[in-house]
Amino acid sequence: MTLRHPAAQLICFFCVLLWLAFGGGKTRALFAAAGGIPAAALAALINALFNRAGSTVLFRLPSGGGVTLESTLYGVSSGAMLVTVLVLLACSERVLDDERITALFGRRLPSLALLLSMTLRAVPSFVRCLTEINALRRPAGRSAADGNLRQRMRSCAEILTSAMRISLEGVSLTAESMNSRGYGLAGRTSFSQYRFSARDIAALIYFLTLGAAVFACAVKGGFSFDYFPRISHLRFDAFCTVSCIVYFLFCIFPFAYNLTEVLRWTASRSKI
Amino acid sequence: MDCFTLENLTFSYESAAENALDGVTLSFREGSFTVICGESGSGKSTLLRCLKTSLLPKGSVSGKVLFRGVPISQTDARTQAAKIGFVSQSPEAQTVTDTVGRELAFGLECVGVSPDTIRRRVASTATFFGLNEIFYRRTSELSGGQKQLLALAAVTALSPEVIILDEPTSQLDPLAAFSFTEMLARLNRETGVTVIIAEQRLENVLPFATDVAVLDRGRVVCSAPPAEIAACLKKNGSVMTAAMPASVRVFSALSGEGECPVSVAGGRAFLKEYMSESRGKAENAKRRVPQPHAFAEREKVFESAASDASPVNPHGMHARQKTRGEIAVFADRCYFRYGKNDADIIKNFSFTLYRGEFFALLGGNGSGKTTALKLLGGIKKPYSGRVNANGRIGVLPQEPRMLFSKDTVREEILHALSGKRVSTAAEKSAARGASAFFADENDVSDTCRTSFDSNTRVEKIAEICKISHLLDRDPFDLSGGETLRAALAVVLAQSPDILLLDEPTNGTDAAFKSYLAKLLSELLSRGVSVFAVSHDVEFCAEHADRCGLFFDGAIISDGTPTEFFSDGSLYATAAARMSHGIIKNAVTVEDILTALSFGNGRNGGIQNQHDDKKNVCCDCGGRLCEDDASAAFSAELRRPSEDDRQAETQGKANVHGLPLTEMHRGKTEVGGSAERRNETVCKNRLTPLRLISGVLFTAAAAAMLVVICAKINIFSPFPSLQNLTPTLKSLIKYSLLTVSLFGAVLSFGSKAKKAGEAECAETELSLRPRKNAPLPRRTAFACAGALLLIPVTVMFGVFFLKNKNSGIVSAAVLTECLLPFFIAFEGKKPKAAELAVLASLCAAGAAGRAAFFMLPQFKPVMALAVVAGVSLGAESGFLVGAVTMLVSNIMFSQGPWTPWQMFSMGIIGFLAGLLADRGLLPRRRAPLAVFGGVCAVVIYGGIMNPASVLMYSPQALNAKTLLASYASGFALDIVHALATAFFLFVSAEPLIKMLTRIKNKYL
Repeated sequence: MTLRHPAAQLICFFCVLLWLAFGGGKTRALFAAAGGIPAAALAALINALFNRAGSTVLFRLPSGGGVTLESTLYGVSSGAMLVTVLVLLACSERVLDDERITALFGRRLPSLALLLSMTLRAVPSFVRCLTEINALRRPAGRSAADGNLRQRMRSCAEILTSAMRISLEGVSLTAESMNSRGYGLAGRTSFSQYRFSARDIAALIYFLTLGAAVFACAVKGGFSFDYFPRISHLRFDAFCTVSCIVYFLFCIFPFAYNLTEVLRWTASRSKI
Repeated sequence: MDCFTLENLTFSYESAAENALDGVTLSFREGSFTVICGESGSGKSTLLRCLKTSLLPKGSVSGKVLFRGVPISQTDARTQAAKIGFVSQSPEAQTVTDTVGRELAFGLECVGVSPDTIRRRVASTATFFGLNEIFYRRTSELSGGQKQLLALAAVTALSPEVIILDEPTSQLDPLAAFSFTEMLARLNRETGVTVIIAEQRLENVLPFATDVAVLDRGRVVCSAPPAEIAACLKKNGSVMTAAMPASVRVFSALSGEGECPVSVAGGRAFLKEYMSESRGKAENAKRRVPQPHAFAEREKVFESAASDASPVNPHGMHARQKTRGEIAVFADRCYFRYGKNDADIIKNFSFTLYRGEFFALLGGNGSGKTTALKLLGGIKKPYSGRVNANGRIGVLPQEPRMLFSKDTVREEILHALSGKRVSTAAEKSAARGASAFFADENDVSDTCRTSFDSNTRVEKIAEICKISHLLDRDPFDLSGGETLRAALAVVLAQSPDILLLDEPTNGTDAAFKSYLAKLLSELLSRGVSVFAVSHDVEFCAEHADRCGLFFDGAIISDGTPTEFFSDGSLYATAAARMSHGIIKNAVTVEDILTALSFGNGRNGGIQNQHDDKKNVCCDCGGRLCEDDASAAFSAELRRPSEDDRQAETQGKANVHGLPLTEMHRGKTEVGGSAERRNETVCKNRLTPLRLISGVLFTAAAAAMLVVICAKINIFSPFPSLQNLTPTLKSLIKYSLLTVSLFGAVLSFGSKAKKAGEAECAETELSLRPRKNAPLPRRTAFACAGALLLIPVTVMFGVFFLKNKNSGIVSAAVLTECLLPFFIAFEGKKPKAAELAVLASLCAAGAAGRAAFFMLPQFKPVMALAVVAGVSLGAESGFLVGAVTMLVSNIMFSQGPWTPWQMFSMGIIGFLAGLLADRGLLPRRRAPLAVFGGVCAVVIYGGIMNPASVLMYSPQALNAKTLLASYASGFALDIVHALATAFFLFVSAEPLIKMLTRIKNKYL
C-alpha cells in the first residue's frame, strides 16, 4: 500500500477491490472505487500545482512556476494510494466491526472496551429519542425544519439538550445495575466469543511470513521507483518480478482465504 | 435457614422527617416467592434496597438484616454480587452493553469467572431463557419485555441464591408483563431460587406467590400466604384491598369463606358457587332473583340529550353532558409506512372522534397504536388517505419528558403558552372548548383568552394539574407522577381541543389514575375530546366512553366498554373474564358487586357506606370512592414520595444543599458564587521549574518544526557533523523534535505523578473530586512506554519508509499519542457512574452527528467535548472527544482520518478542562463560545488541514501547500466554528449545570 511502484500499486488496488466486491457486492465495490476518483483527481491536482520537483515541464502557470510531468504522475500515484486506502477501509468496516474491536481491546483496555460497548448501546436509542422529540415539535412549528437558519440551529440545540437530559437521568440506574452485578471488583476477566484456533494461527504465520518477505524485498530495493527528478524506467528484472509476485501473494491472501472457505462450504452443503 | 431475615429494620432517608421503614420484621424462606405490595411511598423500594449494600441509599439504618444468618454489612461484596441478584424497573437504563451475549457475560466477567466457565454459563442461561435465537442481536433493537427478560437472565447467569425485583413489569405491556412473571415463576420453581418482588400490578404475580407482605407507610400491615391475605387485609381495614386482583376483591366484598381465590379461574369458580348458593337460598325463601346484570347504561350514550334518566355511577361520577355528535378528528382510509419498502403499519385506517368523547385504543405491543396516534396528531402524514382535525391538538407522548426543554416548570408552561402556531381558520373558529376551560364560567368569549395575564394562567394551569408547589423546580428533577402532571400542564397550556395521550397511566399508581380520570372528565365536560392509547385495560374499561382494538393496521371492533369487554374476548378486564357467562355485562368489580347485591341498581345506587375511621368502602370491597381518592391524593402530595427521597439522597444533596422536597429552588448561577461554593476550587500549582522547562521544551519543539519545514541546515556550525549522510541528519532533526515534544508534555501534563498534592481535591486528570491518588506504577510505565514509541515510529518512518509516507507515520504517531490517555484512564479504574456519564455524552455526540434531520453544519461533538472538559475534568473531556469520533466512525463511516479526528477532538476537550480548572476559562456561555470557535479554526483546522495534505501528497508538505490547505479548508472551518460557538452559547450553561449536578450526586 505504501509502495510507489506502479505495478505494486495496481496489484494492491486490484486485490483490495476484489475483496470488497466479493464480500460486499459488485455495486458496493464499484461505488467505493468510483468515490475515490475525485480524491485521486484532487491529489493529482494538488501535486501538479504545488509540487515543483521534477524536470519535464509541461506548461507554465501565470505565477511563474511550472507544472511538471513528474509531479503530476506522482499525484496520480498518491491518488491511487488514497483510493486503495479508502477501499481497504470499506473492507475493514465489514470485517473489523465493533464486536471485534471490543474483543481486541477487551483484555488490555477493559474500561475502554466497556465504554465503547455502552456508547454503542446508547446511540441508536438516542437517535430515536432525537427523532421523536423533533417529530413532537413539528405541530407547534418548532422542529428542526421550521424557521430561518438561526431558529433551526436553536431547535437542534434544544432538541439535543432535552435528549441528553433524559439520557443522563438514567445514569444512576445504569450505575446501580453495574454495581449490583459486581462491577469494580478486583480480578475482572474478559470474555470474547472469538477463540484462537489452529487455523487462525496458521493463517497468521503465513500472513506474517509473507509480510516479512515483502518488507525484505522493499528494503532491498525490489520496488524502487523514483518520480523525481526523473521517472525511472519500468524495468522488470528478475528481482523486481519476484518482489511483485510475493507482493501479489501477500495482497491476495484475504480474498483467497475467504474464497476457499466459501468454496469449501458450498461443496459440503451441496452434499445435503 | 431463612434466606433473608429482617429484625426490626428501621430506615430513614437523610433530612427526612419520618421513617421510610419502621420496625419491619420479616423473614423470607428459602425457595419462596414473596410479593411485597403497598401504595406508592409505602417503603417497598426502600425495603428491597436495604437487602444489598451496593443498593443502600444514604440515610440511617437500624435493626438487623441477615443474609443466611450473617449480617449483610459483613458479607463481602463479591458474595453479594454473585448471590443476590437485582432487577430494577427500567428496561432501557439497566441494560449496560450493546449485545445480548455481552450483557449475559457482563456480570460473570466482573466477578472474575474464567472465560471457559463464562462461555458455559452464558450458553446455558441463554437456552433456558430462550435467548439463543437473539444472542447476537443488539440490545437497542430489543423490545421492552425482551430487555427485562435479558436483565433477569444476566442476573441469573451468576447463579444467585436470591433475586430481588423492584416493580419489573411497571413499564411493560400486559403480555410482556405476563411472560416475564411466568419466566420468573418458572425460575423459582425449577431452580429453587428465592424471589422477592415488589409489585403494584398484582394480577399477574399473585397466582405464583407463596407469601405476600403488605406495607403501609413503612410498616408491615399483613404478612401471609395469598389465600389468607384478603382476610388479613379486611381485618386491618387496609386500603390495599383496592389494589388486589379482581378475584380477591370480589371474594372479600362477598365475605367469602375458606381459601381466597387468587386467579381468574379461582374467581370464576367462587362466583359460580356463590350464585348457586344464593339461588338455593332464594328458592328456599321463595323469592325470585332476577338475572344479574350489571349496569347496562353506565356508559353515556351519545344520541340522547341530557335527561334526568341519565344514570349515576354508584361511585359518584357525574354523567357527562352530551351534544349531538360533532366530529373532532376524522381519519379516512389512511395508509402509512415508515420506509418505502417496509410493510404498511397503518392499513385502511378510518376513524372518527366526536367532541367531548373519551376514546381508548387498545392493542398489542408494536401493533401500531402509537403510529395511529401520530397520524391523528399530525406528527406523521399518511401516504394515502387524509386526516382532518377540527381544533387544536395537544399530544402527550409516552416519554413525557420529551416535552421539556427549559430550566423550570414555570418556564415550560410559559413557553407553551407563547407558542407561535399556524392555526387554520377552522381551528380558530372551533377553538372554544379548552379555552373556555381557563376562563370564568360566565365569560366564554374568545377574547378572554388573550386578556389573561400569563402568570395568572400559569398559576391556574398549575392548580388544575396540582403542581403549584413544583413550579420552580427543574422539570427533570420530578418523580414519575409529578412528571406526568407537569407534562399535562404543558400540553393543556396550549389550550388544546383534542387531547391525544400515549400511555398516560404507564407506571402510575391507583391514586394518580383516579386523579387523571377526574381531570379528564372535567375536560370532557367542557368539550375537549380525548383519545388515549393504552394497554391499561382496567383504566379504559372504567373511564372511557368508547374502546377500540387496534389490529392489523386498523381499528377493529370498537364500542362502549360494556360491549367491548364483555363478549368473552381474551382482551378484557379480569372482572369481565371472571364473570363472563355468569353475570351479564360486568366489566369492573363494581359492576359485579352491583349486580349481585342490588340487581339493577339504578335507583339511588349503592349507599356509600364509609367506615369513617378507616376510609374503607365496606360494600365494595375496599374501592376508594372518589372523594377518598382525592383526599388520599392530596395527602400524598404533601408527603414526599419515595422517588423524591431516593433521587435526592442518592448522593450528596443538591447544589444548594437543600433537600429537593423543600421550597422552590432558585435558578442556580453557573459560574457564580453558588457553584464556586460547592466546587472545590483547585488551582493546579505549576512549579516554576516545570513552567520554565515546559516553556523551553515547547519553544524547542516549535523551533525544530520550523527547521524541518524550512529545511534549514543546522549543522553548519558543526564542521565535524557535516559529513553525516542526509538520512542521519534528518534523523537527528526528528529526534530533537520528538524529545522536545516529549519534554513539553511531561512538564505540563503529567500531574498524576505528583503524589504530594493531596489537599487538592479536584485535579484536571481526575474525574472524581477526591484525593489525588497517584497513578499506579504499571500505568505510569505503560504511559511512558507509549510516549517513547513516538520517536521510534518517526525514526522508522525516516529510515525505512524514506520519509515518503508521512501520512502513515503521522497516523501511527497520533495513535500512540492517544494511548497514554487511554492507559491512564484504565489505570484509574473508573467507577460505574463515571462510565455511564461518559457513555451518555459520547452517545450524544455520535447521535447528534448522525441524526439525519440535523443540519449538516450542526456538529455537536466539539461543543460536547468542551462542556465535558469544563464540567468533569480535562481527562473526561479528552475521552469524550476521542471516543465520540471513534464511535461515530465505527458506526457510520470509517475514514482514514480517524486518528486525526480523535486526536484533535480529544485535545480540544483536554485543553478546555485544563484551562477551566486553572480558572483561565470561565464557565460562562460567552467565553466558552469564543473558545469553541477558536479551537475549531486553530486546533481542529490546524490538525485536519495538514492531515489532508499529508494524505494526498506527503512529498509536497511545505509552507505553500500548508497555506493552500488552510485556505481551502477555511470556509468549512469557519462554518464549523460558528456552529460550535452557537451551540455553546445556547446550551453550554444548562449542560454544565446538569453535569455538575450529576457529578455531585453520583460521582
